[in-house]
Amino acid sequence: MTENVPEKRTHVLFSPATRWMHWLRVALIVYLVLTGFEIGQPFVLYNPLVPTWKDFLMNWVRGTHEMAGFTLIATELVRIYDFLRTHEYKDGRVLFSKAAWKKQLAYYGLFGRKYRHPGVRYGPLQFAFYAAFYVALILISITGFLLFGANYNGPGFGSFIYHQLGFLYPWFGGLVGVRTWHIWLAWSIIVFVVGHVYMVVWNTVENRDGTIDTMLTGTHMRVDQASENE
Amino acid sequence: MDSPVNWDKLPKVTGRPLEGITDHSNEDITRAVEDVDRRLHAIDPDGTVSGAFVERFMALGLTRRDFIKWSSMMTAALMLPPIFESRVARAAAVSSKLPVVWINLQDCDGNTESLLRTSDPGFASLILDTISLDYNETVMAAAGYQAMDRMNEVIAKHHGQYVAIFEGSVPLGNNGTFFTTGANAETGISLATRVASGAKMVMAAGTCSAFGGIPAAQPNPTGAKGVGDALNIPVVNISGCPANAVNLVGTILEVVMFNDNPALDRYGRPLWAYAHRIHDNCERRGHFDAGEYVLNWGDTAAQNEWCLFKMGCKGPYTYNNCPQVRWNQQVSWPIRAGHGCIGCAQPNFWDTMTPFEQPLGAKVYGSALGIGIDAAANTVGEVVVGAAAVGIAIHATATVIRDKTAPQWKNPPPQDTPPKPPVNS
Repeated sequence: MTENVPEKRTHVLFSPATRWMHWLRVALIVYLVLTGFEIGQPFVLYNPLVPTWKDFLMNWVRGTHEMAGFTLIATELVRIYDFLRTHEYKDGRVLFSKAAWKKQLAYYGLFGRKYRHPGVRYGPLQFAFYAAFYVALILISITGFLLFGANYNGPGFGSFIYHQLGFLYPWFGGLVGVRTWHIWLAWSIIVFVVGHVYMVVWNTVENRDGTIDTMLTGTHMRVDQASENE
Repeated sequence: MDSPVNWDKLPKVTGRPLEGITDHSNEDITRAVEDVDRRLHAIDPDGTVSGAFVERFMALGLTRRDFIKWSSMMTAALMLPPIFESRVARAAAVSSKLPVVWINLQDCDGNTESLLRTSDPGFASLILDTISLDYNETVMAAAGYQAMDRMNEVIAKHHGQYVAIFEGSVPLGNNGTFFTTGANAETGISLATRVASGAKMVMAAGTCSAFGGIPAAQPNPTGAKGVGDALNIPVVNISGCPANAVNLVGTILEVVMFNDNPALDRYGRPLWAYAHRIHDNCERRGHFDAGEYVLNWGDTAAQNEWCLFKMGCKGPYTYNNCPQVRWNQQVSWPIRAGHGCIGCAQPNFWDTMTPFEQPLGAKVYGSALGIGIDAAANTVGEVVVGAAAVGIAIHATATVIRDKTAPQWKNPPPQDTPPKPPVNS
């Protein structure tokens, strides 16, 4: 920092690809959870006295669930590429810092003051949970592939999944096991989203530093600036 | 057994066509038909369906027309092209030359019952009666030492030639003594090893012998396993609880016509019977796609024969040919009768498919994990999300209280420098 160059108030945290993938994923997860529950235990019901007179509802729900699922997988691939491209994986070292763990847990436990982990985007708790979230996303994508392959009898990708990736079915305990894994993983993602949204909102209110904007603008206020502005 | 056939020296058949599964040209089919004809000729040079066989089914009150219908049905079930109809008929007639040993292990004898107790004797039961069923504990007259002698005699006489059909799981716990049979109290594992070692092909009839079935369900007190797993040998699994007679007879015809290596799926089941999902061939599938479900037993939707998915049908997870070949002389099958599939042809169905009358999201855990409180996946999900919501409420309230009681917390004096960076500094 020289005296002539004014200090930048913000620093870049997330690349445009990361941000776009994030909001795409938000929309997809909402849609996939809603349609997923309809597929698992249908709750939109017809009157048994009225014969079918309009759309094939489950066909639409399942078809769009599958398409949304494939889009989700595409966003994951872009995100993983971005994760490697921007060297985000290097932030993983924060997991091995005892001091960082102590500080973050104390902060969320309301007996530590606000802080930043300089040079990294995430705190250790954050990084651990995001990593677990991605593992869940990858597993739910694999089980989704397997369910799709078993449902789809035509040629092409569905046939490839069923025959060439078919050795994975017994790994999950058969088709019924794949389905059970899919349900549990969906619930784990719901729990993650609930916690994630709360923590972002809480952080923003706590620090008044625009944490919630970060995923829109990609930039974050510097911690000292944020303290001064308060 | 007038003239014993050496099954190992018969002409080999290559390129068994599976309609809808394998790609085959007309030339492939012609070649396969020629091979099968040569093989059947070597088994029985008489050429056509023998008079003795015709007399036998005429005596049961069946007609020639019934036989033609049945062999057409079997040809379709075996996923063979129509040109094989006469070959299937001929194979059925000569199937009595194939020695079969049927061993009952740890199960309810439901497979034998299902095959024998048909209301009118169909061709499946006729063929099972007339195959050289040299040893079957349930239906034979001999008992005690006599029965054991008979079995030893059969497996010695036809060594390497007979088909061993096992029914029931093999208990391995307590040195296998949970199941003993015969006058010498021979354990199931010893008997199975002895019979399987001399067999040309081993078939596991029913889910118990294929995958362990109900005896192997949690907590599996006898250490039961399927025959293939217990003996660690390749087995043709004819799963189902009980196994469909059509699938058993079809596999025997397959051995007669082709050889003892039918194309198998990844659970060792013949592809011609277990390649397709119940759900994909279900007659109520249209109602599933339309979102039309039965909500209660006997409601209007049930009377309209709507989809049983919400009543816990496990057809979407089960591979079998029930919708095509059906049961009880091909009259009906569970979903047609108004109850969902329970997935009895799949491994571990008793543990993974229960509760049978609710969708999978309602699957009860706990008893399987050995803890007292049973919980369904959806219940666990709701409780955990609820707990997260309660935690959020507590945390938010605590934050508000802290801000009220310590307003200076968020605005520390300027000299309060931020903590030193933990890493990368």
